[in-house]
Amino acid sequence: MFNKHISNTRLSLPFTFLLILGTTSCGGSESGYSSPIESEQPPTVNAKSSVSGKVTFDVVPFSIYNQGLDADNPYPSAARGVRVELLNNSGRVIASGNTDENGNYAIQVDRDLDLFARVSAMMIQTSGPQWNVKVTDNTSLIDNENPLYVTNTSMFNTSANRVRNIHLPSGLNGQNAGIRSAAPFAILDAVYDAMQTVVAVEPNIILPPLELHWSPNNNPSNGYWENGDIGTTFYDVSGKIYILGSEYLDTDEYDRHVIIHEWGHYFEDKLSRSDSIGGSHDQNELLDMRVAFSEAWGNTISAIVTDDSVYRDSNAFWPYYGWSVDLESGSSSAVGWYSETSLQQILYDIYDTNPDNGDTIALGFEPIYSTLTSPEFINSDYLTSIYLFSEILKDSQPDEIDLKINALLTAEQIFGYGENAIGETNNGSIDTTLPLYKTISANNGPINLCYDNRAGVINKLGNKNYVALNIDSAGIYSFSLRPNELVSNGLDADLLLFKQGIKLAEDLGSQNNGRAGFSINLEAGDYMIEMGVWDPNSLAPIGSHCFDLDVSDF
Amino acid sequence: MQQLVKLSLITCALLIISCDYSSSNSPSTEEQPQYNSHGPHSSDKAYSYQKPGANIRLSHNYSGSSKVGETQNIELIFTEQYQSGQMNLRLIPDTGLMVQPAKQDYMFSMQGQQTHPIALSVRAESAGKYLLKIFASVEDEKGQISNRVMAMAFYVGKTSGSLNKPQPPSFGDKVIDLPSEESGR
Repeated sequence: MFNKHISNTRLSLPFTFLLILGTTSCGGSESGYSSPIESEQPPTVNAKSSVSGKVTFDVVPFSIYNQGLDADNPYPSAARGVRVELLNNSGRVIASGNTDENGNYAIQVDRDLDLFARVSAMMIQTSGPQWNVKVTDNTSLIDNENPLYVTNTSMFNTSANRVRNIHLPSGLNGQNAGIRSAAPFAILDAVYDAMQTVVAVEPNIILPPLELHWSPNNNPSNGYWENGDIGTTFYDVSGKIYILGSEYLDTDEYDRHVIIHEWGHYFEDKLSRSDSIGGSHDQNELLDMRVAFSEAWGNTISAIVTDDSVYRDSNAFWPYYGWSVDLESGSSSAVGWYSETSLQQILYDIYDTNPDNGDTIALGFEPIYSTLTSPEFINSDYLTSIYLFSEILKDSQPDEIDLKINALLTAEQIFGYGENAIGETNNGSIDTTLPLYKTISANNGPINLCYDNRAGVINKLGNKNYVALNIDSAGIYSFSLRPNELVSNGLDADLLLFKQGIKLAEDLGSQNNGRAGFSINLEAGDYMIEMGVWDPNSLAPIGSHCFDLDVSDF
Repeated sequence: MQQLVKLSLITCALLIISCDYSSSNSPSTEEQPQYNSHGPHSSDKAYSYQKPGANIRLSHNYSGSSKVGETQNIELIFTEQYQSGQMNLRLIPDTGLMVQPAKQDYMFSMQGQQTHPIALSVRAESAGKYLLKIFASVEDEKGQISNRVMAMAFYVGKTSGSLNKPQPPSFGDKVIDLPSEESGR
């Protein structure tokens, strides 16, 4: 989709402007134009002028020589669906509208007004499919708000129809005085495509508001986000996306896969469900199953939206200037339900039409979307994983498709079935990971759980245990975790309780005595317990560290 | 008698003030703020959904700010979680940030989870924010390369703390005006 769009809009800047200048008013269909929303004076017959034009921004392509950006060869691309306002010299908005699919806008306004046009890094649509997306600067504050990126034209008078074409340069390599005007609009453009992918299968979708924070100050040091020390590009659980903008380190405004990957986390959070704990992740790692599924989804939706299976992330690091992975052919030392690489290949194979390596299905995006947004997925008593996803997807498909999905799973050494992974035999060489869901009953004695850090810490395979609990009768229940070996006695153990993905109780206390616990009043029903150890600096000896978990009523 | 009453009232008042002062400044152990269990987890950003990249973590003992001309001896610790392979690091300081040793490239062998320390002396002669750019690349046992760009921020002089800059509003609106090229008629 992106490639097609680019090829349609890859015109030289002078040619684009000449094309627009050759028209008396904005060309193209009226559909997609917003009506003026505010008028300074009562409308009178034949007293209107048209203010129209085209908004474009620089797209910086990837280099053909390495994984980086080719900053010397930007080309204009239409700014689609962005807000255009006409303001008077007091700064009051007189009328507004949106650009269309070609970046064109046309706004009717009273004659003989002195106005200027403002294009905002904002997309708002309030009928049909609805959204509200904006790009702001997390490193600046105006009246305690992060300011919105805009560009303003010079003043003009509406005594006649006016054409105002606006182009935002990239500002890379010192162009545009080094001011990165195009960046917020490049970010919006990737989000626009992501939203259109959803609209294609859910025409009346109402998307929750989304704010993306970008700044040229956003760099990969960890610190205060308001200083730009954001660490990396990420989706924050507060519902905002932070994007790197540091030109000579790592900037992501032209890395559409990266932006859409993070938008995929927004999608999970707002429209679907994710039990992922986030954190650092790589293609070759053995991950917590929730993290693996969530990150695979992010990579997959980026490939679906861009119609490009090669996920690519540029940076300024000589000699590679970035990295890439083809979701179709990426190989990994990690194969299984805990592998981001395995799961993104399965998800993309379910979607795409390319028959490869045992992929004989091409379901498109709709079944994936329907599965992720289904009540069965969102309200499951089990955790979000490839098992839950594939089980619900298969329930909606005929038997012959089920067999083909099973073949994709088996090819990636995923053998369990059902939302609770019954029969899984691939333990990732960490034997304590199976069965994937342990079970416990109240007042039936403790069960043994082991934290394992051989695959890494925080969010890796073996770091967490998932325990299914059925409560027969309502009451107050006590949850207790105790170390059953000396070495576990010095660890910071954590215990959490969930109901359908919603956290009900937790003990994340920092006591290093291997203990955790809480008491809580529960209704009868099914619950999920998560047990783990907090050891971000890998201080615990490599291996397995075991604990006893007990649940009892008062 | 009146003096005795006055004395008693003053004494009582002082006692009340004293009690009040005591209770507001010397809370009992139970009233001490409890350790926020979310602190270490959320501040580490383990719960943010990061873009993919090489699994290399950087920790350090830099306090977060320094004085102009002050030399700080710091240790960077790179923690990786790869079973085997090689990690390459390139350290590039911003202009004005003096780093010793001046060596830029480091190479470490990866064998299981390891930490790789680098000791540095860092100094700047004028106030400002400086970045030590860190480019990290790993090649695992299958020859697959992934990388991660990191940085370390040094706040020298009065720029430590938040750099959040209030900007003068134009028309009272909350925007940043970006320059653009305009054409038309």
